[in-house]
Amino acid sequence: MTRPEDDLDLALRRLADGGEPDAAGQPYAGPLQHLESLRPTPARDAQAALAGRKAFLALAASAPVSRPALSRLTGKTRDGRKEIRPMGALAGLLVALALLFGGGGASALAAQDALPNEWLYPVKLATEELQLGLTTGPAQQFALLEDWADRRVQEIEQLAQSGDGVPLEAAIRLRTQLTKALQIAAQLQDPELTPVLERLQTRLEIHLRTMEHLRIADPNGAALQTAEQAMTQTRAEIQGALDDPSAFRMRHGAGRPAAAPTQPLIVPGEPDGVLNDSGQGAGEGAGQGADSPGGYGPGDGTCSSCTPQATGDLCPTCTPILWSTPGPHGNGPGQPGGK
Amino acid sequence: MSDPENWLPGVRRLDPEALGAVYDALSPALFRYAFRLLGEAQVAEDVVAESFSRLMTAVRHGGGPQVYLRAYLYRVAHNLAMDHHRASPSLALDDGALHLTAEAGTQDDDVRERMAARQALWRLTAEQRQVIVLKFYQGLSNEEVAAALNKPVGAVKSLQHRALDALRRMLSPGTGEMERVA
Repeated sequence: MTRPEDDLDLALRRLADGGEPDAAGQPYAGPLQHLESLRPTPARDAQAALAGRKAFLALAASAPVSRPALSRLTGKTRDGRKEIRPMGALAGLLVALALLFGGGGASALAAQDALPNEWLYPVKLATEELQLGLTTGPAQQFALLEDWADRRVQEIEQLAQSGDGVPLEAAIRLRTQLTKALQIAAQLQDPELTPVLERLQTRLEIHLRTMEHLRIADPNGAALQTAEQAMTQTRAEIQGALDDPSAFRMRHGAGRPAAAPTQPLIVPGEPDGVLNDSGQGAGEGAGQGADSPGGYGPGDGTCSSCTPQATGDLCPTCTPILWSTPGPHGNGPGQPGGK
Repeated sequence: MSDPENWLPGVRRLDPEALGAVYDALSPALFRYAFRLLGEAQVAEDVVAESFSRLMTAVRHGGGPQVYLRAYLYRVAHNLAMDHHRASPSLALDDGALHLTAEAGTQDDDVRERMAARQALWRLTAEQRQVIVLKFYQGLSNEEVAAALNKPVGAVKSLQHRALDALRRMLSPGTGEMERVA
């Protein structure tokens, strides 16, 4: 004796093959007919599909290459030394914490799901910092920061949806980590740089869409606004980096020739700003040198990313300050020639 | 090698040829799947991108699908679609809003029927919805659906039965969803 669900399954199979509904399938012919209305779908945007494919393959290309089997088994590096294993070290540290403080390590593990308004959250941040400190190589560090940017967005999303309100610090933390990710990316060579930036760009696109939805419910939320702005500016920065990797590296202090002059010291609150080697800079920022090729406007003098090498781009660190016009006193993106 | 499942070993090795082939073979179906659930092409495209991104993340960390690649991607896409559905006010229309939309005369019959069908799908349980969409629209076998849901085949058939009973109640004239949007 067959079960009714088996009979129905057979009847549906017959229907799918173009047969007539039998006694088992007949009661469901109506609802199945209604469901037919969802069968047609629009043609997929070919460009979006191509971009998605490219991003997926770039993501794969940027994945760390698996080490040889023997190396994996012995845990030794090529020169015979014992391999440093960041996660192993982290686990060891957590165990040590547990032994020392009776559950500190367990707290660190429990903190991994904490939200910014929870008391365990600082522990989560501390373990992240520790993990970053134990990770060697810019590609690996970039991947970590990228994952944490995802975490920050998820935290913001969860807080916004719970109705608890999103603290501004959460958005600022996201901005800081994105800036840090770009600074680390600037240390990568071209073959590595492009795929990792494209990967981050794709993730930011998705996060920005999430942010758009959240802002429908809370259009004036400062934290959401700041987070969205940070991601938009990072996306713009990535686009600039993909177009001109050398300028991107210069902006983030990587790849500077050893003989290059030192960066000017910016002193916040100095009435005339601080003069750079070319005698420029006044007012709120330091301005550009007469012969400088371009860079961010130095803003209010507190931002470490603002340098005299002006390009007229937006500074990802100075958000929410938006440079829209060149500032005569160095408080804008600046122009070559120091105007 | 036309069956995408055959590319799984290549995917796990991050072989670009296998990855490209899998994307080409599965992303259109995944797009249709997400569109049917969410009704927005751009959002469906995002779901596809994020599903493949999560596949890559999982594979990089030694996880991801062991047997059924397609089922794995559908499961990820369904979770993403659910997240979006929960977060999106435009999709979370209540009965009253559907009434108003219909009465304003801005929706033709086809649109209304699609709205009712989509609304009915979202009123199923998550597992029932997956069974219906994966089997009815995407053409997956019972075994593949079982893999996507981590359930035995018998449970899939039971879910299918209960889902169709629920849909019959919701979509039958005079009793359910069609009346609300009409």
